[in-house]
Amino acid sequence: MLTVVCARVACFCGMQLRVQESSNLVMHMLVVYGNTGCKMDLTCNGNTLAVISKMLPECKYTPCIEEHNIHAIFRWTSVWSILQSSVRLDQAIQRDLSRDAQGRGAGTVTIPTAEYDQATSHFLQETGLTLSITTLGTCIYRFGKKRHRDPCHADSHQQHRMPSHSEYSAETEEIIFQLCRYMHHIITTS
Amino acid sequence: MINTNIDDLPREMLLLNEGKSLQVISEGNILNIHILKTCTQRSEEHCVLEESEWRCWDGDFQVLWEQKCTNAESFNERTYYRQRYAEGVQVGQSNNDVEKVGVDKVRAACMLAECSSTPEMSRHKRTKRQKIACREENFVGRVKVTTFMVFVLESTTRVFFVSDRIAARNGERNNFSVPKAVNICYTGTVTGTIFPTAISAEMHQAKKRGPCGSEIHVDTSMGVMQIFGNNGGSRKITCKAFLNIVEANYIVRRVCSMV
Repeated sequence: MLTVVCARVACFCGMQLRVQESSNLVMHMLVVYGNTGCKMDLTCNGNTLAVISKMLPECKYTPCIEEHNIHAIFRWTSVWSILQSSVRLDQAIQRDLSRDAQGRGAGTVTIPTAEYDQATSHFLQETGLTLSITTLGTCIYRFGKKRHRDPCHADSHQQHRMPSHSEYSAETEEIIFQLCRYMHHIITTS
Repeated sequence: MINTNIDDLPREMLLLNEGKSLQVISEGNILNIHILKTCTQRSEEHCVLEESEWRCWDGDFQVLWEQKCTNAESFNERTYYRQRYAEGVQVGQSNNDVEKVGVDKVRAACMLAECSSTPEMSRHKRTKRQKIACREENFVGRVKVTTFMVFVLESTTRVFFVSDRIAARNGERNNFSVPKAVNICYTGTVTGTIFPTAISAEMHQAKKRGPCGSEIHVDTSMGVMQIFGNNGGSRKITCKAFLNIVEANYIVRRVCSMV
């Protein structure tokens, strides 16, 4: 009886059970909000689509459907491709972007660099981005882990997230935020 | 322009003849809309916008008007008009009073709308005496006149006035903002035996059986932490609605230290 009571007391004091993290936290959904400050031309022949197509890698575009929604959706299967493309951007364009960002009071836009460790690059390769832009300029960036169909349950439409063997850290998160600011700047100047 | 005046415009307008005109008068503003059926092809359809600012002075036995164009091609071009005081009802006086009285400032726009293009108002070159009369103490008010001409297909039978009212209402929200995280969710695992009551005792609001099948639900000011069922000694945890991983890690460590 005395042993049971002692055990209970120990539980409440948090001394003996030793609950601990067995794996680090990994992001599975990250939502960022921003506003371009101007109305957006989101039509199929519009400027926003033209600029995104020119400045960013290929994406899947879903236009605004009148009477259904007022936002267009852009999907990239891997944010790694966006980072790679940003590195390929001509240095002069990058300088212009940063200068223009300061002029708008948006702070410095740091262009993401290509120097990442293997774990980070693996994580970013496995992360997709869905960007929703409304005609009023509201931008929602939704980063998420890729989903893949389970080959054993192809008919059941079961989807599973890829097992994550990659590390996720505050540095990885900062790269995502940095990428977001960079993309937002491109969209804002469109 | 349509957004601002949508409440004063008809929703639908029939175009049975060669065209139709509308006039919306508000304090200090006159909006003229002319729909003209002149185009033979859809590609010819277009619109023209003309804007001018009118200023009014109450002179000796007459009202003086100055029209200043604000259009690019005739910018700042000034034309002067003289308006005679007609007998009968005038601005700022009762039906029984036919004597000249000063122009009511509020009704300047109404008066301009009523008298323009009528014999009452005549164009003239401003005299020296009138120039002197156009001083501040005689100033009555100003009226902005906007004329919107829409040239449509000859076969057009009706026009609808629609407005992006949501855009008008949300105008003030349309400010530039740097992208900021609003919701981040993380997944992880913990091991060890967890006593939900231990969390409740310290955090007060922690509940057993949270949403999404979680066994323990911990609500914090930084976000929500959920602990799921035991799976071979390991428990899945999710941290939802956080703003960065540093805060999420802090909460996980804090909860682990409690139990």
